[in-house]
Amino acid sequence: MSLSLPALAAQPEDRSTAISSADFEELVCRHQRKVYRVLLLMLKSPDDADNLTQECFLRAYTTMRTFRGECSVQTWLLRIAVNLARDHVRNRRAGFWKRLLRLDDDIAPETKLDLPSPQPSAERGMLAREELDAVWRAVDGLSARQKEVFVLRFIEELELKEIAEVLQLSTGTVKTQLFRAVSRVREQVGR
Amino acid sequence: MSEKQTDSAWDLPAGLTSALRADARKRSEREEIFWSCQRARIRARIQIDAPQRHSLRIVFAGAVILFLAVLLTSPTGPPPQAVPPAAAVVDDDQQLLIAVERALASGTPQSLAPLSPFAQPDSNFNETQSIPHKEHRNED
Repeated sequence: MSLSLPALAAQPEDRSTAISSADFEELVCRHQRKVYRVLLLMLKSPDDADNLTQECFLRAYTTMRTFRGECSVQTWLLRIAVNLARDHVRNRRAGFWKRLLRLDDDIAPETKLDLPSPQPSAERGMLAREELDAVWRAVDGLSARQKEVFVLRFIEELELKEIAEVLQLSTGTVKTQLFRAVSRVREQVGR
Repeated sequence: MSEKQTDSAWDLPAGLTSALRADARKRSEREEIFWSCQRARIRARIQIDAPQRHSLRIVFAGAVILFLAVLLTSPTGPPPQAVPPAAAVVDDDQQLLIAVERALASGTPQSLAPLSPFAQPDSNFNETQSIPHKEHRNED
């Protein structure tokens, strides 16, 4: 069943029964992985990413009536997720930085290497791993805004216009932030 | 040419970005049970949240009704301004006159009554008048 969010938003006053049905389930099912991934990359904490993903869909449910369909559902959900991540970082800055430093410990060693190389030799794989780690370290060193732009551009493959909609910025500002982020990453990685 | 340079300034090498994407997906990969549990928790939170929002809405509506009721039952128009009492003009002479009249009306108090020796006519007045004559006589 295809779900149109504006159609959901146009539901009568007692939406709870309608939303708790398969329609909302499908909405969650379709976008939860992406929302979780963005939050995980921003927050570096699986637990926080999980909690905020739930919060994101809860907020989507409660503010669904205000959604006018001016952007895609994905953009709208990512906007909620990014705002939640910002609030979370603001509220628990100290804890966040601690978790940030623990990032490498949180990731199981077997999940660290998964490069889409056709026949990676061990040496080639190791070099790529090191390069990836260097990029992630550089990304961690970016400002919050630059990191948001970087993740949405290179991980979620959003267009600049979409990024601008998610972050509620002008396209020019997104370009500037992206340029700075890429320059900084290149500087640190040496590419 | 310059357009290409500008574009490349915003991009990372394609191989690196695809490796980053794959790595990020791997990091966020979870068992299917994780996603279904997450959906169940979202559902549960919505079910908890919805009645709370409903009761909040009722409380808010009640508060609005109460406010409107108070607004409607209160007297219309601007509240009457308290007129400051006119400053009494104090006339000392007038007050003194009033006090005297009151004192007269209520009778003279005992303490203020003139002493009887002074009030009675002086019988020795003639004698005192004669003293200077005596003195004059002595001087003579």
